Amino acid sequence: MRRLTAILLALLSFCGCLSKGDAAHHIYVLSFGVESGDTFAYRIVLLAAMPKAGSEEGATLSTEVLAAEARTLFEAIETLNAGLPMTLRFSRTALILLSEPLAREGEIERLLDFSLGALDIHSNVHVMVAGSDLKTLYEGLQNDADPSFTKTINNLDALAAQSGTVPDGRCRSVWEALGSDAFDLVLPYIGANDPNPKPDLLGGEAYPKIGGALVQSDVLGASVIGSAVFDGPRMVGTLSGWHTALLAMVRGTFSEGRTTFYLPGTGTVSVKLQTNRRTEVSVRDGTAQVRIRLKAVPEYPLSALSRDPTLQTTLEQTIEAELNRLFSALSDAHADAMQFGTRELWQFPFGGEAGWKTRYASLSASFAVHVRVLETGGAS
Amino acid sequence: MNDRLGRFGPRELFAVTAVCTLVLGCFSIRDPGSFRDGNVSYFATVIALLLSVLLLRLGIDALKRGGFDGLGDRFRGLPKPIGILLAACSALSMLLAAVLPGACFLRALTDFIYVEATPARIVLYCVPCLAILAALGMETLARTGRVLLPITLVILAVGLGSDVPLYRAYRLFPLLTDMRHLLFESMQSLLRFLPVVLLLLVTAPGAQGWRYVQRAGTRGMLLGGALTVLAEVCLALSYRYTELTTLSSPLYRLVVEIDADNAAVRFDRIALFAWTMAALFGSGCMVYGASLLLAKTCSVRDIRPVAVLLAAAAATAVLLLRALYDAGWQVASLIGTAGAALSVLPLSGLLGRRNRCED
Repeated sequence: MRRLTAILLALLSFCGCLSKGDAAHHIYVLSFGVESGDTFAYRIVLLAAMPKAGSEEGATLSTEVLAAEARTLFEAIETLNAGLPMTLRFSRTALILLSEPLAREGEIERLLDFSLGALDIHSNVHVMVAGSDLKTLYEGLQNDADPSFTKTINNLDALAAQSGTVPDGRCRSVWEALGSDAFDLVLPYIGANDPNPKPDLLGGEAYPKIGGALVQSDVLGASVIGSAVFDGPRMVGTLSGWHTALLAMVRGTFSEGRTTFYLPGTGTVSVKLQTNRRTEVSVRDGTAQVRIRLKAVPEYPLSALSRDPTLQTTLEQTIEAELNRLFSALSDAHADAMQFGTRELWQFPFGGEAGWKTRYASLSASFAVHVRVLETGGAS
Repeated sequence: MNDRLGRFGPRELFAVTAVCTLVLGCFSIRDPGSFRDGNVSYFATVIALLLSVLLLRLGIDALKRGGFDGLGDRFRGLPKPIGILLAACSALSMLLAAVLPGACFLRALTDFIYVEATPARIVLYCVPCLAILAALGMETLARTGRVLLPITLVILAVGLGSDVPLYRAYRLFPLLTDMRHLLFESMQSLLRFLPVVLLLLVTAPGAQGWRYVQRAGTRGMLLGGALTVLAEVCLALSYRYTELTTLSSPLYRLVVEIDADNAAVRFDRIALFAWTMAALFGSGCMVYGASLLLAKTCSVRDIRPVAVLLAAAAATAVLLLRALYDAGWQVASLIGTAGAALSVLPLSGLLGRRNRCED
């Protein structure tokens, strides 16, 4: 009887075998993006994987960039399905892109207001803001070494963890930020590699390492670095990779990264930063107080840095100054990217987040950075 | 009378109680209005759990003092119309306890797994399982529960543990904004656990003594309830109350949103099927409990036709509730709540002295 009962219960697992489909009869959309169209409201651009012509079914994949203009995403999908030899499937979609102009118009809430379930898209899909034309960007992401896009996405997650220069942006975090008054959205910024630097930091300065467009020549023609900052549903600016890492330090999501700065008497130096201590943040009486503890590992020039007694102090002052600049820029843009609102909730445990953005406008912040310089093994 | 009750020990009863409590606590339909003013579900569940255990002890004490073997025996001792009315209310309450998790999982299965299948095809597949489970009887169910409990616990632990890096304390706020809201939610949570109390009182004759029913039942409810509270806390740490008002199947979504580089990335399917099996098992126990009570009160000699009938009725109700889901959660949860409230009425039948009517 127990065996019969166990078999009956286990048979439940097979109730999905009512019909089967061949995986090779579909085109899998690895990523899709939305930008303004010329004829219709939107152009939907897709990076899709399909079996290579002439190969056995499913034996090798090639990626293609497809595009269609339509009024909605689903209309675009129907248009594309009508002109393709196989059906589009979104079950492997790992990345959604939103063009920067649309993000600045505040369209993110409307464009992402579609049923992920209807397309069988995972709710932890990555979402990014694209600073370049989507077709060019996807052509830059195409890579024969990774036709399934899996390694690219895994590297993206690793980059976020190992450098702090890319925030973690998922569809779920988009909805949480848009539905909350307590903090604002920050998304990774992606762009085609461009030899001409553009202004950075919410309208200010030329900078060689800017959000989304590295000055480089690389295997991939597109780069993900830095972040797009939002005030509610509207994008208000971009941050460089280094400033994104500073943001991560305040938010408590930073684990390690690297900074390059000017040390008097030595010149430009490179230092690796690490932390395994929680950032202390308190928001009281209109002031946010942040205490960050870091460990610094000198990297270049090693011989000079290991003899320099001012490294710790200079590093602390440099990071504090940059944090103050960053907060000032975010405050001017009304973007609580540092998530101070979530800290204020602790003071009002029974409800008090209403009106946080108004209070944020008059919030001041002080940053205390403590750096411990670690000894290195020296040059070999 | 062929009541298929059999004999089962305290460990089996503990397992059945824990699984049923966990299933009813975690996987029942919840009115999205519950999160309108904040998430108090974990506070409410603690209060409801303690009240349920108290009611269980009071019920056992009343039946022991009256010299009754179980709740069916008590209802049979009442004047026939009253006994049948109370038995019908209890059975309906247990039947709804079988239906609510089923409707919840049917939605998850049709939304996330079998997107091209109609709900009716999935339910039709489950009807024979439910009917056979209920017809096999309590001894079989109890021994199966002992196997199912560790599996369910492991799956729940892995599912909740794999999302630990994503938990954030600020999502808990606001806390306890309105005491009336907390009181209302506590009553709603209590109505979810009361069918488990009824099941224990109905199947007590097979448990080899009231002492074992009390001990195993209390421990089982506390374990199942504690796991429910843990799951609700984890949900509160993962989703703010504003998200929970529109989210269906939040516990399943919790395990779906695992990073691609996490070893448990495909765990969501395993979790859903393990939980569906637990829900099917819980529903089988509730259908059996309802069948036993009706059969005893109405002097039906063989419980099996009653079990098959109630299993079919439960499946129909699952389909109806699924359709109501689409019409609005409020209607579905209202029906579920009103039905569960019927479980309060039968407990009044525990009052009074023994008045056995001879067969």
